[in-house]
Amino acid sequence: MSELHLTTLMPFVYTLVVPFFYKYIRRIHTGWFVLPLPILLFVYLIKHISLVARGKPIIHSVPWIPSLGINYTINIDGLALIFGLIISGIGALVVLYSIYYLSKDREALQNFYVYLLLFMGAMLAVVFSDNIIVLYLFWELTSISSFLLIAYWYQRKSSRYGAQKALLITMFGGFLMLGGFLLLANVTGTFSIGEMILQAGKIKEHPVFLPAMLLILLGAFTKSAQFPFHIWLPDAMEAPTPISAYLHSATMVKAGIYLIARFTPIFGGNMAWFWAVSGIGLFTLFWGAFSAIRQRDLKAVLAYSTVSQLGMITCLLGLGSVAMYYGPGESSALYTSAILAAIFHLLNHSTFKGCLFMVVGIIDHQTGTRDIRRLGGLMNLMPVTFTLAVIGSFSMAGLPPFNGFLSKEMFFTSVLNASHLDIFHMETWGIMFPVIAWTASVFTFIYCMIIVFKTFTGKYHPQKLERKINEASWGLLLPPALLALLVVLFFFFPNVLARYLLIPAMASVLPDFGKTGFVVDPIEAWHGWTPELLMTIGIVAIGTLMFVYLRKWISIYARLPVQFSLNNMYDQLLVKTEAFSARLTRAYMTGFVRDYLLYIFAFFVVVLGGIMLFLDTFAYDPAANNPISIYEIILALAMVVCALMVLFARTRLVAIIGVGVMGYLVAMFFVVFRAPDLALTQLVVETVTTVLFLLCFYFLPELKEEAGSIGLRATNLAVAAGVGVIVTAMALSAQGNRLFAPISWFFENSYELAGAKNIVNAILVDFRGFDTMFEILVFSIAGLGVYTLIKLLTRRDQE
Amino acid sequence: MADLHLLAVEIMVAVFGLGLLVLGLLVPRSDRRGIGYVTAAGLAGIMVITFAMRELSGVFMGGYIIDPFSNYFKLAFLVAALLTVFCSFDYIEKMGFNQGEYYALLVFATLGMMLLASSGELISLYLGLELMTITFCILAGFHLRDPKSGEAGVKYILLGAMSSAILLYGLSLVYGATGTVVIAEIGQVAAASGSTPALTLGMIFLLAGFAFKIAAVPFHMWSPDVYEGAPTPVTAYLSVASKAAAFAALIRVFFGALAELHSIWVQLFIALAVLTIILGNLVAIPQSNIKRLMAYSSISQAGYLLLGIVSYSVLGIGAVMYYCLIYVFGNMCVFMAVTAFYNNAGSDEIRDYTGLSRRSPLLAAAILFAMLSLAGIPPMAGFVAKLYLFMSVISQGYIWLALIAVLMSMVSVYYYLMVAKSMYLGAVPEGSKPLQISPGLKVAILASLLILFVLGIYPDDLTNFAMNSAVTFFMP
Repeated sequence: MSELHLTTLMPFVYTLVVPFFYKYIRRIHTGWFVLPLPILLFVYLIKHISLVARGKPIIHSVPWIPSLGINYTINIDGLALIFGLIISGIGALVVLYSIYYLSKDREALQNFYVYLLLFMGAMLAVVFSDNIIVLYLFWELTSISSFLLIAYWYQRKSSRYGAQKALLITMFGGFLMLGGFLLLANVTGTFSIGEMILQAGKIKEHPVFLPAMLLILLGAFTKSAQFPFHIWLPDAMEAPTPISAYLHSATMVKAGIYLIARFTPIFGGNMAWFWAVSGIGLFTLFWGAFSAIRQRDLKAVLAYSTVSQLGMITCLLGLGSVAMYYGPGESSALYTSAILAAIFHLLNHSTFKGCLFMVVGIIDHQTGTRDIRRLGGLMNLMPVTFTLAVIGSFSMAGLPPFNGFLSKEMFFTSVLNASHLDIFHMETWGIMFPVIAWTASVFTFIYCMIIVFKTFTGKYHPQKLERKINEASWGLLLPPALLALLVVLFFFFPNVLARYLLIPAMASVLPDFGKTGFVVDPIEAWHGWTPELLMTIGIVAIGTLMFVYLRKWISIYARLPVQFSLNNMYDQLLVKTEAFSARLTRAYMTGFVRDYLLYIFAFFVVVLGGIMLFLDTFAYDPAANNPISIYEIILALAMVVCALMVLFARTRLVAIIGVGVMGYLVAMFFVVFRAPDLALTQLVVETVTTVLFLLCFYFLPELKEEAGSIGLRATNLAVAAGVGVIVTAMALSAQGNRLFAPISWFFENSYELAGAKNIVNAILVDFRGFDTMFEILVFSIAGLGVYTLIKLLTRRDQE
Repeated sequence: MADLHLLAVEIMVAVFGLGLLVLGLLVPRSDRRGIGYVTAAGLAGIMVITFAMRELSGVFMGGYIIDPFSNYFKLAFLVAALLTVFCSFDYIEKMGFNQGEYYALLVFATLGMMLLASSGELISLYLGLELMTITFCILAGFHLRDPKSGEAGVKYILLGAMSSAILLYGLSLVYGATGTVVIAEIGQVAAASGSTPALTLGMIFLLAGFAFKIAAVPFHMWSPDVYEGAPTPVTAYLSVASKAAAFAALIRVFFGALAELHSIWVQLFIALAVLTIILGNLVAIPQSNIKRLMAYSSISQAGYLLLGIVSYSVLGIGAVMYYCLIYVFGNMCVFMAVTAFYNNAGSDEIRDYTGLSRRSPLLAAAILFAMLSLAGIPPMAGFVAKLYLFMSVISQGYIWLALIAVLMSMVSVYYYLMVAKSMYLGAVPEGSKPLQISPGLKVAILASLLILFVLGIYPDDLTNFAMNSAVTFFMP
């Protein structure tokens, strides 16, 4: 255990003490005890910036399951560090915010903070782990803690629904991702991402490349709410707002993006990867923005906007992966900048979206609603909140002087570059990228305006609200204000950020490029009248127009068919699966042993028959047999008659006697084949079992005629006939084997070895003495059983 | 008699079981708990001795093998038996009769499993199997006044007898084809002669017989009915230990005697595994009774265990061994909680579990974490166990099989989650009291939970032991 391991696992240790704080120090809000931890982690990570920026990742390893080669390796490189800073930094702000947001008297705070810390620890471990198994482990833990946090107000049905949906979808992806990981591990023989990257060439040529890639991408897409898996995110908004700000916009949903970035060195430069990542990302960008506008709940607007922004980052990562196709050098510089834009926007999104969520939380906290239709005119009542909302929204809309403007411009540059590509069929489809990106940005602009103007301007409706409105306390305002400050600072000093955080992160996404140094233009707000700037101006113009005339065209949303919506499909899928499995159970789990036997025998017929046919194991040579005597024919016919008698018997008594006669006939066979000892045993056993049967069946109810359908009877007949045929075939082919000495040896030696004149006696008591003894034992026990049953019968008669 | 010391554990168990039977006659009926405590103490003692002797190995009279593999399984059986005894205290006391016989039967069932795991020839294998099956028949129908329990007993007898007959037929075919009952010798004869028709057919019958015991689809129908009807502690024991024992014997027979035919039986086991995993998980979804739910979940677990057999490798056997033990703790943990709940509420319906987390946080946590382990969610031990199994099939190239298994794990998360949802998010029924749980059971539940966590985080010592024990099956 290194210091690094201990530090990153600290949140887990801390979960153990939180309940004590809650229980014994009720006067002070538990959040105050939790707050120092993320701050310390943040400071601890800040310390490592300079080292990592010089290209020296911090790696520590402890063995976990050495027999499988699984180590808990912590690798803090540029990419991990930027995520670590977001997790601990936003984490600290969220904890501070939650202290003022959640009442210490009414809420189960110990649960809240335990789950929050669990999440924080797990998320840090996800981004720091170099080992895919450890990564997967903590990945699932983030899903679980997210589930717990969404269901924090479990009394509400919608919370339970949202929590379950989020868990099912993210875990579904998680399991598939594990499958992809195992495939990769099998190809490369290692669980370390670092070592896999070194073998990237080998993976690219392996046939599992595509399945492994798709499985891992499914994991990433479900987690990062990419279309069509985004449906869980809006329902996850049932979580308390600090959680939405933390998990469902700043950190957890970015785990998928982290994964895509992390695996770019392995999969990047390939057409399938490019299209899957950038195509899905682009469509998600559009769909999220388009869907956000119809929402009435402020948090739902933010949820869809998160979906959309995540799509944008994903798309950028996909565009950047083209650089891997060209390799390091001048020609790829156009595309490496997309990676830079992705990482930059990732950071920006965390700041402005975190700020916006906290603002919405404040509105909810102060007014008691998040419904746009009930809000309006809050500007004068809550001026600080308004300012923060403007900063956040305008940054998201891509307006200066906020950081969102810079990354949005870079995004436009990247899609414009992509449209000039002449590989991966981009020569025909390339133009789609700037068009869709621009359209989506118009919608983005519109919902950003909705957030600001529908809430803060317009008419104030005090009659629609339950309480009197005033500005929030400083504790609630401080965290979003800090984030808003960052939003502005990043705009003015982007290149400091780039030097210490973004470019080192880029180096981990494109490790081959880092060695030769990146060709990166400094990030600037003003490049002259570029196409990007014209696109932004167009967005503002068209967007404003459409926002003003929102009423005229919003009805198109109502025309989208409901039953084809993804949410409906998800619900139907669950309902249908349950119904199907209930039907399946009813169909075959009847509770009747005879039905069970039918299935089992049918399986036997199929497997045994199949094996006999395919492996040609049926071997029968009639010539090897002795001639069949008349006795044998008579006996066989008698047995057939008996069997039929059992089948058609109307009473139990007849059936049992039929079975008994069958046994005696078998004994007769032994006589015919000159095995007197066997015949004797068989007779005795048969007698005892028949008696036992008769005694037992005395207790059973009358035999009833079961009215089965023709189909059932036919099935029964077919299976029964099949069993008969198979067993006969087996018996015939088995008798071709002769391994053992014939017992005629006994006849020859009985006098000399046993001194016996009676051969049968000699066999029974000398040669097969033990057999006889055990047979007698079995017989006695059976006799005891008969005796007990008779006793039971008489006792019952007396009663 | 040479080497009698090899049999020390079995002899102790047998003597102990007989002693309990006698004790049951001597102790007055009013003294209800004593025998349970004696059983627990005795089993714990034997467990410690077995653990101390875990490295012991040798062959008794040419046909009874003591090796780390069998010792491992014996420990697993003893652990399961011990937990079952803890589980039984209150339950059997409520039933109010035949205490001595109940505990003695448990011990005899354990003995049967030990014979199964150790037998190196077919006759003693069959003997162990019958000892186990017949005792379970009695135990399943032990709840005399409950018609469901009677039904369970009768069904287990009928279908168990049928499966035994099938197995016996298979054993006789194998004997007929090779002329010996010693597993190692069968392997040698088969290697020399190649696969003969009789041997192949015998193998299929053996496969079917074992499939019955491990409740693999389509030989699983008995298990939901029997699990539901049998007294809950018996269900618990049946679901874990008898399955593990059947797997131990299956490995001995198929890897020892029938290795020559592995190209055929691997295909059949793949079919069984796929059917079992898919059907077991799908059908578990609509269950409303927790014992039936666990029955289907155990069926699907058998399917996962079969993956280890399919992989036909050291890793596979080691994975099966590790999985078996984790499965013992996971399933026993759930069943202990279910028993405790039944003792208080008198119900096994999942809808009655609503709000359990507030009525008894311990029980709810036990069920939740044990189910997470069964579903293979980290950081529970079940994750590592599943990881090993998946690795073993993937390393043999059965990628699609691993994917089916992974996807179906998702389904299992779904139905486990339904229970968790009811326990954690449901409302507490009105007028319910906090649950009373006996201290012994509490300790047992906590201990199993702890082990599930610890083995999830530090699996290495145990997996190493399992892998080293598994190597014997692939040594020339």
